[in-house]
Amino acid sequence: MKLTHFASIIIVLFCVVFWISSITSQNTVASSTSNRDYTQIITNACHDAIKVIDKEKTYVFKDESTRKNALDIFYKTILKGLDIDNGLNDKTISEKTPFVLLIDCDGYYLNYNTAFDTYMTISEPDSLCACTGLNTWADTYTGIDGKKYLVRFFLNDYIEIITDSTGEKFKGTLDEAKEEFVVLSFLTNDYENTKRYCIINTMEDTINYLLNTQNINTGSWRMGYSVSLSNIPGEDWTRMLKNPTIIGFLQGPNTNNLTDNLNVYGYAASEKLKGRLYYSDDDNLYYRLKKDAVPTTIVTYNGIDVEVKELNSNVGSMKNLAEKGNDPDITTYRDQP
Amino acid sequence: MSDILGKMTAVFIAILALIYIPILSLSLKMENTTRSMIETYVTQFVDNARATGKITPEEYESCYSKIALCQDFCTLEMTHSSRMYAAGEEEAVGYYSDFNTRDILDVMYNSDTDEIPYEMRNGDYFTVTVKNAKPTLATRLYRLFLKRGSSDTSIYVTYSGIVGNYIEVDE
Repeated sequence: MKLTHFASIIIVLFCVVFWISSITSQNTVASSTSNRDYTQIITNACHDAIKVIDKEKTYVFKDESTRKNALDIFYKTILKGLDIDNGLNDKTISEKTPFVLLIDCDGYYLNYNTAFDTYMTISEPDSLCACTGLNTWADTYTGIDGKKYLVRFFLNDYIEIITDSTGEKFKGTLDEAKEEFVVLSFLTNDYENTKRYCIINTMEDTINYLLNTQNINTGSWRMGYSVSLSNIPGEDWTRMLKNPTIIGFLQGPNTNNLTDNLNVYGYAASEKLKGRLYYSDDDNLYYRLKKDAVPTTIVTYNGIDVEVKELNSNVGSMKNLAEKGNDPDITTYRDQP
Repeated sequence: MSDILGKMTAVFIAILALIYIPILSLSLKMENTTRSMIETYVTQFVDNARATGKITPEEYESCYSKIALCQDFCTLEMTHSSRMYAAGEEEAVGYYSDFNTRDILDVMYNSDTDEIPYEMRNGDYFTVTVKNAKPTLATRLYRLFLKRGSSDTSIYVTYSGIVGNYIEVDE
């Protein structure tokens, strides 16, 4: 064999190997870029949705209207992020978000798809989402007397215990339960830990079920999710309950590498903290909600004086004006918000 | 004759291996880096506009010039979806009205006045989309041998979000 032939074979081999590795690495890079984009979109959606809530309320997600507002903003932000703005009626977005979890101190509200049957086909296209409250968590424990007890935990200090053999039901505070059920040793020794484990396990099971069965783009039975929630003890747990939080998941289309199935998804959360955004205008620092810091303009519509800048005053908002039967001038509102 | 043909083929493959493929690989990596940088600039620009509730000509020009430095011939499209209300039969009806790049630039660069910021309200949406108008070096090199019909747009960055940190909720 001539030296040139040998060199040609080496070069051809080099070309083939380089080409294959280039395609593989490009696919991997594209997939990781998509993953980053999806995470950014879902983070933004959680962040935007949490802004809607009125944190002065004790229970921010208790009313259906507040939950609906938060979810509307959540889906709208995802639509905008994916650049497929077909309005809030676009059901395809719900198919990509197997669950959205709204967390508050009165319980966990889980918004999930009801569209898929057990064969992963869309069964009810008109009712894609349902919001349920998860504010109690139950498990069975064996007492030192050998009997089984069904214990139902709440986020507050209340506890419900049903004796399995007799069906006798008790509901009261933890202190009352300690006196009544001495046989349940964990009530005295390890109550907070047991309760937290029960809540976390139930949540994990529910989320994993939704992710693996109510998710349109997983596409293959070979692929599955296993979400593990962290067990946070002490003050951090109280802080978690205290601050309203939204957790969301966004499933993207899978891509294929030469050897692997690359999954594209985003998983993020956003928490409402006490501090609010500030903004500066060269010299001054403004508090976003402090209306006095923003100059206002009086505009008259059909005999009604409207302070255009103060959107939250009685007559100043476009919404309030519309409620009075007036169509606000869009141009004026755009130029002088 | 066959020897000449063989040598020509060997030279061609050698050029392909030693020049074309490394350049293609480098240009693909450069494209990814460019995309990441553009993403950072766009995110910064949109987040500033969302936090302050306004788009200033300075920030727009700064963002645009940074993007132009990264990649020539990029288009930057802005969409401001403004939350509007109209009087309904029984109650006010909320909807979103979109203002595109031209509307926003018209307000910012009005010839009658100085450059003024374009203001948005709490609850509005602001979206910026950047894409390359002409094929990148990587796309052109790629098309020499493969996928001639592929799209010109290889850099596509979009980022959006709600304006302000308070929204007037619908009851």
